[in-house]
Amino acid sequence: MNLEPFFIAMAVAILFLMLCNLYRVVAGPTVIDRMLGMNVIGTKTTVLIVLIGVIDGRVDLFIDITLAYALLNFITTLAAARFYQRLAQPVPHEPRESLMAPSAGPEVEDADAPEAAADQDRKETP
Amino acid sequence: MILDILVIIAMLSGLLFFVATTVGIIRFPDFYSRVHAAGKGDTLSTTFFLGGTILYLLRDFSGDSLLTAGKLLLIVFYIFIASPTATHAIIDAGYEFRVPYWTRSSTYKGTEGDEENEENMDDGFYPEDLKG
Repeated sequence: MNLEPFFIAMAVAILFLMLCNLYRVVAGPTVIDRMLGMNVIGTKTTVLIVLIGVIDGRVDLFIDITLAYALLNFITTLAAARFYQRLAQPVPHEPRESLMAPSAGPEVEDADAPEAAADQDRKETP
Repeated sequence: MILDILVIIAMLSGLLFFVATTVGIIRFPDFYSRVHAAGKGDTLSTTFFLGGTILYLLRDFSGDSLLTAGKLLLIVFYIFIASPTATHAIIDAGYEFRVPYWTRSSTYKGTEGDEENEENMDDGFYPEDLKG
């Protein structure tokens, strides 16, 4: 059975659905929605590259591109997510006292005393 | 012949899951529900598509095609780990970004003069609000 027309139809269908996902990227109400749409589109691009390789008859050539693209897509999404997560919290995290080791108690308190006062000031100014 | 039918079944079910993902991403009212649709359907449909390609490559059995199928299996394994991780990072960023989420009252946002529900309308409810 010659499956090549079937693969071409699959690639066209994936491309059409990716275009549908592009609506969410363009019209998403928040930045995070756009990131979500781009993540889905990127994941499907790996499938599309593999299908192009199968149609072309040279999967062993396209498979490395696919691997690189999957890695790149993951890193891009993670970086953008971390960026907007940090952007959402203007004040850096304070260390929680329950998580600090009890043996480090008095030394840390002494060392952090001026910093803690500065922290107090910063809190009261707004 | 049987392998071809298996390839077609795998690809069609992958397409079905991708259609469901796309409908969810476009139609759901809320960021969080959109992530729910995208995170599951995207991973599973990619797995189905690449699994169908692996079966197609194993049709003519040789060393080269076996190597390529192994690489594809690695990609499937990688996507099965990386895609939920990326989804988790996205939803974590959205939660800290305080993306407003869908409530029953937010559907009535267009109607004006509904004063008793007005305080519930602007944004959602977050666990930090409980701490006072």
